[in-house]
Amino acid sequence: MNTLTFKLMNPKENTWIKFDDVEVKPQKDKGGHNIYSIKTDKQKIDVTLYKYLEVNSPFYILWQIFFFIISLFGIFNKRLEKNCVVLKYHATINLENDTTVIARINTNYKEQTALSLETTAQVVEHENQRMIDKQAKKRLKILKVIKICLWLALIAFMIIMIVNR
Amino acid sequence: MQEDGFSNNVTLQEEPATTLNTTPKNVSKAMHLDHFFVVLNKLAILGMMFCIFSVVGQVIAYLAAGIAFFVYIIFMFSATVLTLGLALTSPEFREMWGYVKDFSSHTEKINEFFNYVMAALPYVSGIALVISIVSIVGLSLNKHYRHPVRIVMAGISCVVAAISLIFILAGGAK
Repeated sequence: MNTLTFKLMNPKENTWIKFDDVEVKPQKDKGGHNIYSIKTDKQKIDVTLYKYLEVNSPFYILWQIFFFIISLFGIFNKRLEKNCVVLKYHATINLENDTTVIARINTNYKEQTALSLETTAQVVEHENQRMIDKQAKKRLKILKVIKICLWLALIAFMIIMIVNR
Repeated sequence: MQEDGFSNNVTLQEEPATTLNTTPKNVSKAMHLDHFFVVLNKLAILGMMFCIFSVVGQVIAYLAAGIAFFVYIIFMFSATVLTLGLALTSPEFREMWGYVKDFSSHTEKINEFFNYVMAALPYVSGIALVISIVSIVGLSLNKHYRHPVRIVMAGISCVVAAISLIFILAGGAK
């Protein structure tokens, strides 16, 4: 039985990590790092990490308008990520008895890799990309325009209500 | 893999990708749920703050009502003392008190003294009634915090005003 201890040093929001296509519940240490412990009989394990954007989801306009309205016209809304950075990581880790992998998500905007690994085990990286999703940025602009229009509509509605009184 | 243990087998991308695969349905569902609960949480905090401010407001309202009632009692007491004082220091009273001093066994004169006291009561009651009405109006003006305590306070003022009114009527009848 091989054991993999995968320590993600700086876990980010909307980041999904899978081991052999299975989601593993992490344990948090005192430093706020996510520690994934996997026990397997296999000699290799596939690790995939993806960071998705909310604006890339289906029916994003409808969802965002819904959240915009229920959050009292954006006052109490959750902020969407402005940078639109997406991460794609896929690697195969060759396991020994006890393998420890320390991973860091790259946050520097100059970086083009999603993860930096620190391990003594042999790792074959199939994919390691950190990208800016331009389509998501366009979508954010569209959402901004829609929100401004909704605000204007609200103001117009309030003026009409006051005048009619 | 480098000797120092750092993985270096990285595929660098020349240009940032313009598009990425659409977020999977299960992921977007989880994201939307999270987003919804974040908004809900913020709204709940807002509601809680409203409750706290409301409670603090209530406490302030009680204090204000208490102070108003206290001031009302002081006014009542002062008015009574003032009116009685004015009545008792009047020439008629002095004259009467002289009679009492001279010869207190005359029941007629004692009755006359009580008549003076009774004659002073309508003035006391009149001032008390005015103060009561002012108190009721003042306490009723605070419409934001309608509460039994405020109503009870107004009720007490009403009862006091009614008693004053009875005194006035009694005085007038006399």
